[in-house]
Amino acid sequence: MPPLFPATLSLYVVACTLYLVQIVLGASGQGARSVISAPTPAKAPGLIRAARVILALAFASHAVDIGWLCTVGLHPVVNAREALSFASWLMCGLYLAVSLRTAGLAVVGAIVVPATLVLLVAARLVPGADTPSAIGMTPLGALHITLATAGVALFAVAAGGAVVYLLVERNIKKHKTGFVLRGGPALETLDKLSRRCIVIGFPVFTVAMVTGAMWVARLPGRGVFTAQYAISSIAWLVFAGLLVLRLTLGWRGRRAAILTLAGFAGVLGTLGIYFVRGVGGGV
Amino acid sequence: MAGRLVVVGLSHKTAPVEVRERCAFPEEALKPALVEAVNVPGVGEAMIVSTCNRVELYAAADAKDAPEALRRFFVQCDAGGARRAHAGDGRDVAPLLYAHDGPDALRHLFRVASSLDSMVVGESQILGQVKEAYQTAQEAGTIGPLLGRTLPRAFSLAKRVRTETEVARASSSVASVAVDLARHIFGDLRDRQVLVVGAGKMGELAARHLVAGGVKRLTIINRTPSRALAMAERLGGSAVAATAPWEEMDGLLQKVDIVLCSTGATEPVIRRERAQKAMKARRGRWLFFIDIAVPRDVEPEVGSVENVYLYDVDALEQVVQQNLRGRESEAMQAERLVEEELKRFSEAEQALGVVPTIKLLRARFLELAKSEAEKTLGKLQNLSEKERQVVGHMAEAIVNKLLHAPLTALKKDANGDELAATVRALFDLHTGHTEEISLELGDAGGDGKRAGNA
Repeated sequence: MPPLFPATLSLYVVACTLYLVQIVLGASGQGARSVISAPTPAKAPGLIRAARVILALAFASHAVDIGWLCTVGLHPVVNAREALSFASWLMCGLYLAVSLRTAGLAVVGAIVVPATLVLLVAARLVPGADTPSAIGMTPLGALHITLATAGVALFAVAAGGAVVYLLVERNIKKHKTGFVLRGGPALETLDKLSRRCIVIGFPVFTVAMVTGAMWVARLPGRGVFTAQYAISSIAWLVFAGLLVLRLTLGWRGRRAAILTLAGFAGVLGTLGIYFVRGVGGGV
Repeated sequence: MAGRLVVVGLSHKTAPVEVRERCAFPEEALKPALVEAVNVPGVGEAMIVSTCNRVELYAAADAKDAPEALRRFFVQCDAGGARRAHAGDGRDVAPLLYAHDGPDALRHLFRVASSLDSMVVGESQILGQVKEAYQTAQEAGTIGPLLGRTLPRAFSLAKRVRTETEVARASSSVASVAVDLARHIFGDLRDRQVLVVGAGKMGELAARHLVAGGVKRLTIINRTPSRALAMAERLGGSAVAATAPWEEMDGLLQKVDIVLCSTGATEPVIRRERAQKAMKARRGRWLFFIDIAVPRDVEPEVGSVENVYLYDVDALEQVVQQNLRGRESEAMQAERLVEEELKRFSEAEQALGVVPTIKLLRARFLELAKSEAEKTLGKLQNLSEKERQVVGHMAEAIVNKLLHAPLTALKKDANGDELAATVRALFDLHTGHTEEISLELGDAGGDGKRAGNA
């Protein structure tokens, strides 16, 4: 157990609570102040700023933990547990970076931050996941896991953006002013967020797939064509199709968001299999 | 000319938009209508507030039946010749009219100016519109002492409501709700292009909101190009406003981001096929239709096209209504301010009115009687206390008898304010005398305290 883990966990819990609370407040109390507030307020309200600061502290504390684990030989890719924790850290960092640049993404935070928390808790508290891989960890394997983790983090933020997009879109289409519309981000901003995450995440994920295949193929007695490889291939195809459609036919908005979620579901499926196997002791 | 405030009119609360539109006074008809209004028997001053949500005639009236007369005037007036497409006898309009008289009219005016009676409570446009109406009436010469005192009060109250309550923190009107929605779709509006279809007054107002919201480029198309050109010139100051021939609409639909429709067309201008075609060429780029025209310019089915968002007047109002609930408590606080102001105003009005004049007049007469009585009593040293009192009573009785007729006249006259002013001028009466004199009389003139209670 890394030394700062209790602090990291508490900070994540507080940040997560704040992100959720600001949504609820947006729906009732503060909402009373405006018809539908502008999506990008000039200054983030106090609560959102507080949430962001605490999330940044959690991120820093988490980084210290990861660093400490590295010094004792448990680098991020040593096993499923550390990889998950690393993925959650990347997600959090990614969201922080994006939310500093783009106003009004607190609603996305209310999805990404709880997801980060769940990943971290899953990584840290599920027993057995820290068994080092039964198979040999090679540099190629380490590269594969690092890239795959980064890809997952990017896709997770893209999926967070897609979920919020679908919620906001539905509100606007149906002439409703639900809580997502109060202080929520603009449709175009969300679409752009998802698109960028996928444009960056896709090549990362592609290389992760290739290195993964190469790594596993060199291991004695293991076939490349496993269930997780099939599912991640489907996810890869979905993202590839999405990128092509986005770039050639100008797909955007709702359809793109749905495809993003479909692709991410595949990624989650792969991750789930990894995790279950990781707990079972093998990669 | 004085009297009391009377308001006759209709608003979004009583009349549907079709009726409101028909009853609205075009700008050029306002002054002739105002002049005609003050010719209605018993009406001395008039002001017309004519916006897309309300058409109201405010008047200072003396006659008891003034509200009725004003109702008839409201329905029948076709001053300036530009008004009333209905041309009929206005039978459909009359039942939708409301009339408020005296304090109720005052309350109504205060609530309207403070935007508490607006479709979007707290919107700021209405104050400007009432100010404009006041100015127009001033130019037409139909503002007298009553409206001249009342309106500035309403304006300062509206300012208080804005600054002291949260009511106004919201989007300011249906048009700015549309602007907020545009921001929820596109984010920053600076690089967005707007196509304005129709060069009407409402469209121009909404276009101004978009420009205020950051839009820099507008293209206006209208079946009559000259009107589009005129509107482009008016909007040209803060944004690049171009015009285009009507035939280029399809091309423009492929380029722009926001389409603002407000034509007077009776059939939809933009149908589903047209929108679909445009979306295909746009490669799915978001397109936002704001349709503030009644009847609607955009077919409702357009709203179901992917990445197309359609808000007509009903939808915009729906958004507005959903959010009104949250502001009820703020509105209540604002209502309290209105009531406070009403009380203060009626007190101030009274200070100008008949009652204090009567008090002053009595006090002045009693003062004279008292000093004369004291002089006389000074010469009659050997009178008993009772006899002295009798002389005092006599002096007071003379005052009462003398004042009986003028005071009755003052009280009865419907035009009391004016008469009171005359009396004050004749006898050189100033406020502030009342208290002192009644106290002094209390010392000498027996039951002279009554003077203060007259």
